[in-house]
Amino acid sequence: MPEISAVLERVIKVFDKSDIEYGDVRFDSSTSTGISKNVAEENFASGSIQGYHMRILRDTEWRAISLSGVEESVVLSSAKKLTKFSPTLKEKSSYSKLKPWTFKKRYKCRKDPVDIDLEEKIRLVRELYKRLKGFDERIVNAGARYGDDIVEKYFMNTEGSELYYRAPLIRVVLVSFAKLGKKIQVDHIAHGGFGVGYEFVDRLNIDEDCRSVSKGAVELLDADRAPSGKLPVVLDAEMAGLIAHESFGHGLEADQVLRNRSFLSDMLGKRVASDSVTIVDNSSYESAYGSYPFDDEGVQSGKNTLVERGILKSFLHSRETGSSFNVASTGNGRAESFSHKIFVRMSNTYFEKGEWKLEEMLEDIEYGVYLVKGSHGMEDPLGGGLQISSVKGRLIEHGEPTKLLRSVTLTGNVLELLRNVDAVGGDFKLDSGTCGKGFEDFVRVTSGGPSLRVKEAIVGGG
Amino acid sequence: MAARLINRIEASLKRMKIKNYEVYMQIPEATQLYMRRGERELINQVRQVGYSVRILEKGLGMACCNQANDLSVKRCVTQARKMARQSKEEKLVFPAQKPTSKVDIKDQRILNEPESAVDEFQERLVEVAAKTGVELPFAKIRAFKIRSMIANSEGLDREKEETLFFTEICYKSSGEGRLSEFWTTRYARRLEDISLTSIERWAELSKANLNAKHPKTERLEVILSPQVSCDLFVPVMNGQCTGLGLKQAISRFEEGETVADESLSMMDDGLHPFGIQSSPFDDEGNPQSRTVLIDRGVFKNRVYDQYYGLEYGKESTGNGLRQGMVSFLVDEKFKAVPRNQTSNLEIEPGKKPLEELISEIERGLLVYKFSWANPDEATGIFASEIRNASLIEKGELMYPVKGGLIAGDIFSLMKNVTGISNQAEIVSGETAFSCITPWLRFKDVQVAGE
Repeated sequence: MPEISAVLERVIKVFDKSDIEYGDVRFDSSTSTGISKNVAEENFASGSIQGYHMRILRDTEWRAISLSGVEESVVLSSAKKLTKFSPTLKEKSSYSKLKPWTFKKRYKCRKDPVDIDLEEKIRLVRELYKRLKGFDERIVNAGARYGDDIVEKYFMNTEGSELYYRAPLIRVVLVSFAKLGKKIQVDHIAHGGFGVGYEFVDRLNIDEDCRSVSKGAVELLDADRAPSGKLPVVLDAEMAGLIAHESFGHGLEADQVLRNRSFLSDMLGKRVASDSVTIVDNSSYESAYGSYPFDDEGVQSGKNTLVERGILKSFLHSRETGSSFNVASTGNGRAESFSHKIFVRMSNTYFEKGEWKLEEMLEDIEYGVYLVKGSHGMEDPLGGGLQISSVKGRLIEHGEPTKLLRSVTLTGNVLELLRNVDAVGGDFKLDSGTCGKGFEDFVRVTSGGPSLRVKEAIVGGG
Repeated sequence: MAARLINRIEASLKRMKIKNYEVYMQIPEATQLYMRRGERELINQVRQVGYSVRILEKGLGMACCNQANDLSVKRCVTQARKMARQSKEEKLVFPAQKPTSKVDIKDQRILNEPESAVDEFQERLVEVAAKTGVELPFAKIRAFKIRSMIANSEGLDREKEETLFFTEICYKSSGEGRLSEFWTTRYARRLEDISLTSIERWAELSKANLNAKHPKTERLEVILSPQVSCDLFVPVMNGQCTGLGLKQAISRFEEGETVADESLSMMDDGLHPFGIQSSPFDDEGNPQSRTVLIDRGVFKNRVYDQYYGLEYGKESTGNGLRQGMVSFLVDEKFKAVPRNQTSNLEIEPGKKPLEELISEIERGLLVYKFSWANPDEATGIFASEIRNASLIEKGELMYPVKGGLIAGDIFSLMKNVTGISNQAEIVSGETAFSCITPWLRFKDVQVAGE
């Protein structure tokens, strides 16, 4: 779409002619296909959503306008209007200059999702559903969902940067509901990739995935409630990821630090975890669902080590927070879409792997809980509180996994938990999903790592 | 402009000889204000036009778009038709025009002066912080005015204008080396529905939490705030009380079955004045209504959208809504397929004031806020971290409690109701969009702590 670049250039010219300190303009485009099937419905939908986000800094204050469905003349007149407002703030916003750069990339894939017949995608979803539902007569409902999205991003700013990428995104989600009498249990699995083609689907082991999800739901019908209290725990990779992202990572977002709202504000250079723990945020992780080549402020993505052998090394920054801290942006300024504000956000956040085997982690535990498969979690950036839940778990007795447990929730203080990590597994997995800044503003992310053993933590069963 | 666009979309559908269709359009305007440490951080003005087309041709297909040019309209219609032709056969008939009830869904202030409404709310937050002696680390404030239109091949032609107001607020306190906060979010139709009293209470709760203690592991009587009840009950009642939940085999309730204590009655009230999901008509154009779900503990009725109404031989109750769980849709509902769900879940108030419910407890907890109450829609299981609560002993509030979990399942809670306060609030939750509920008290609830 060369005409988009031309509109962006004209917006920058409007900005250049004004007395603003800085301005940027972004055009986001998303062309999506979504197919889902469950026992009740088949839903086929497609979307074409595009819009401009223009942002300026004038004297001391930021202003922005988001527009869709309008002609170029409206975009340009809005840009002009944007430069005219009178700033009123007392506190000066800082913004360090960044060397301009250019970037243009169309992610190459063997099978571009736009070239795959809709019929083939529908066939895939129907097959997934059939396998999930047909596993056992106790599977009363199953859901299979396929979604692809062609994301295009154009970015220009008054410093001279000109950036563009086009990347396909794919996500497949499977869920099964098992029922026996009044008891219902659920299990799920999700796969997602950025910059990947339909070959991503070809590489999935759908037979094994469908079987494990439906089997998981059926087995949970006979699961016990987890014990409540302070116990030794082992966390699988998905649960470790929820800790890296929800419980710990949100406190590293530098805007939380500027808000005076992070339990990690004064911890740079200090020990925050046992020396077996290293945590990174890597927005350039190849094919990972939370990846991107540049963020929504036009900063190049990359791997940032946040905790190295237990010592806190860095916060996550946008250009604005980086300017306030006199450090470079880490490329974590992200917005849900053109109609949302840019915040400091994580991308692919995970624990680096260690060397322990799962059996070795379990064998020293007399009585504890093994939490398996992440369900959900919630952050507490101020207090460092912990609330993450698993889909299931296993009781650990005399060093062996024994009874199957239904959903287990882990609570307490995340720093206490990280300092109590005494074994890090040699396994590794990333789990894809979306994350809100607070209760809104969702972006795609992954989280994960290896299995972790924690000497003791508060658990409870639902 | 909106009328012209919807006419162009309908003309495109007719040119392609498409007989069964629906066009849903939104023209939202949002004024967004972001605050950091009590100061304005950014103002963003958002102007959008968005529409979706659903086509029934053998099966049902949907496509959405936010570009108004003729080529985009044509592409959108073509995509929806392509989807419809490959989808499984459906017996859906789009709804015809029927009479609707009047319901208040507009705040004139937000409609006419959104920027000043947002500014005034910002000032209110700052004043409360100063008065209470707490910090305001951040706030998101958004005022929406939205025009929506629905037209279909059955001659249905609806239009409405509505307002919504959103805020996410964090109040923070510090003292003697300790930090605490109250962090919440709320949607409302009107500015006044997020009252000064509520905001002051949130600021006070942030201060109170400075002295919070961890709970012990024990079973207690627990009182839940309206917002917590919204988050716990709405997702699970969506699974139990809708035609969709029945078809998906999530619903375990049978009509006439006792599912709750006799003190508990629940309605779906799509016509509650200034209810967050109130509207004369739902997102398919059917009239919204008031339906009794649970009457004194006995399950009575389900709510239906057009699709499940036809499936189960019932009239639609006006419960085909384009709303999400957790990720709420306000100004981008055109992106979503209508889904059979509750509108405003209303829990009937009891007779006693909250103070009396507290005074009757020997030992228990008053929970204002969980970190995130996120029950499983199918199993009803939840386990949530306590963020803001108070311990009750011998009928008195003793000290604030933070940390630990409350765990259980919604179906057991419903049978263990021991009290309902006499005043209901219109609230949104963090997991669920809309509820009208009083404070609820339950016996024998598992608390996991030290």
